[in-house]
Amino acid sequence: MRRNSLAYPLALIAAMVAIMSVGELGMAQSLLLGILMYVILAQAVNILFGFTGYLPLGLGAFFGVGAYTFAILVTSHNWEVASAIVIALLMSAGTGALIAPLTRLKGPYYGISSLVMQFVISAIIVNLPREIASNVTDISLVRIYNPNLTYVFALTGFAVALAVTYYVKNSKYGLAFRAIKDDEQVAAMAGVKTARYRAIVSVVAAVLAGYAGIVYGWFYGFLYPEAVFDITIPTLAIILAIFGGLRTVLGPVLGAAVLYTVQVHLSGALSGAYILLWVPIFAVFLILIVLFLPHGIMEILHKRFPSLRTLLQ
Amino acid sequence: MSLLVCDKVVKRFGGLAALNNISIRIEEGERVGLIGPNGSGKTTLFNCITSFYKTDSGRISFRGREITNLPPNKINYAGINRTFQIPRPFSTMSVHENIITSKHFGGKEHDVFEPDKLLDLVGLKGKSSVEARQLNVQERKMLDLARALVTEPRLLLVDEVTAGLADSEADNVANLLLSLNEQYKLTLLVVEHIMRFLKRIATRTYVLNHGEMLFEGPVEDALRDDRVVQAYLGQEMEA
Repeated sequence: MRRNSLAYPLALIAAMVAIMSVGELGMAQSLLLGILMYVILAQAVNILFGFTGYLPLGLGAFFGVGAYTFAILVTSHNWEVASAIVIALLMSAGTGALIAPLTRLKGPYYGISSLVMQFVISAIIVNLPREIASNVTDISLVRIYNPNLTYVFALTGFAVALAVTYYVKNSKYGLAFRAIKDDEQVAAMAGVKTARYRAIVSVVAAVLAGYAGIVYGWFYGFLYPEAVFDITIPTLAIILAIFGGLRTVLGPVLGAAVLYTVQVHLSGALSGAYILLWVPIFAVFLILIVLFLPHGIMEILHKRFPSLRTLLQ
Repeated sequence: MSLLVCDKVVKRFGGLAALNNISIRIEEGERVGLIGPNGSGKTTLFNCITSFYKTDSGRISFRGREITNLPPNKINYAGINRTFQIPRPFSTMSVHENIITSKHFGGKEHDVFEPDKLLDLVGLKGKSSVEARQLNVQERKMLDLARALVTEPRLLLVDEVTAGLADSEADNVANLLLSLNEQYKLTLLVVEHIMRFLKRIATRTYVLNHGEMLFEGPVEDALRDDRVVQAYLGQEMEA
């Protein structure tokens, strides 16, 4: 059964490779890339929030560290893309480890303090000395612009994010994370080394979010702190994950595919002064989801198509 | 060497001493009661032993090794586990997941208790895939008990396991605890309000009152002791 359920995500990835190999798709490719990026972010939300109970309002901290480390190394230091990626991921992991003690806080206290950390980290990056980053407020990555390679990179991240979630769901990590979510003291009494698992979840989510940040920087090519650390990025990732279905492997994929597409078209249709109207629209939508569909669209699919259980688990 | 020794344990909340110089000593294989009126510090002592609370002063040692304020997971590894007065299962997990989590992270090498066998022993066999939050209070208590036992503790701290149970259910629990004590030399420290149950389970008892040690000795003597009766006055002391 388990082997079977892994086959579907693999088929999905194969289909995406096929789409890419068709060639230049312009708008469609850009949309797909956005979806892939948000799936990676939504899986970070899934692991941190869905499994372990930490609402990551400040997920943008890791996203920004990934994007800026990558961009600064490539522009100010003329690094190769590959080595810049490795260091950017390591920096994201380090940030996750640094912020891990925040997981001592629960519920809204974690959410708010992680958001504050995002402001702190964006302030640090904007004020980096010139020897480290020659120009932080307006970075251009046109030198390394390569949409096809970026797409492969994003697709790899997508596959890794799914694999990580699948592993968490079906291993002792999932049990430890969920035990911490339900009752951390009792989890410790049951033998879970809670501090260790809280650190692990923080680092894993940070690496995933940092990966998404690299995708963002590499594909869009222009980095402004206001855009990279925009609070709507983690917020949207949280909405996508909840809408799709937390603690499932495919929920965040469906959530991102559906809602990100809606968001792109909505903000396209609401051009000009009204472009940000999608935010309140999504906010209302999120309230409705939480009230009437707390387990996301995966729950509907579960009930409608019981025969697809292996796929949907 | 005694199994558990609490030496002058103090726990304060603000200016109030919830435990004031409490000393107890339990030998391996013993069955010991811990009673006292509401708010006398029974659960607080459990919380200090398992590091759910930080002990302010005094020393707790287990098998000769100091365990004061070690994190709960290390208390578990040392060989102590507990149940809760108000049950605290992992509520979004199934009964089975509750047990295997505890088994996986807290199980010892001996493998005395198999998860399925344990669920059978506590009467939850048919509920294996039920989410814990859907259980009633009695079932949750039994899940607490099974989750503690699966870690194969040498000392089990049982916090009012019979409250809310029917007499026949309480008898089953008593039989289970007694048989575990007999077969595996599982040492028991039992907080209990039902004296009939306490008399069956415990051979001797400690009595706490306002965080002070009021009495220690055989259960029968405790129930006849003037100070103990005085402490319970105005409160129901269930026969």
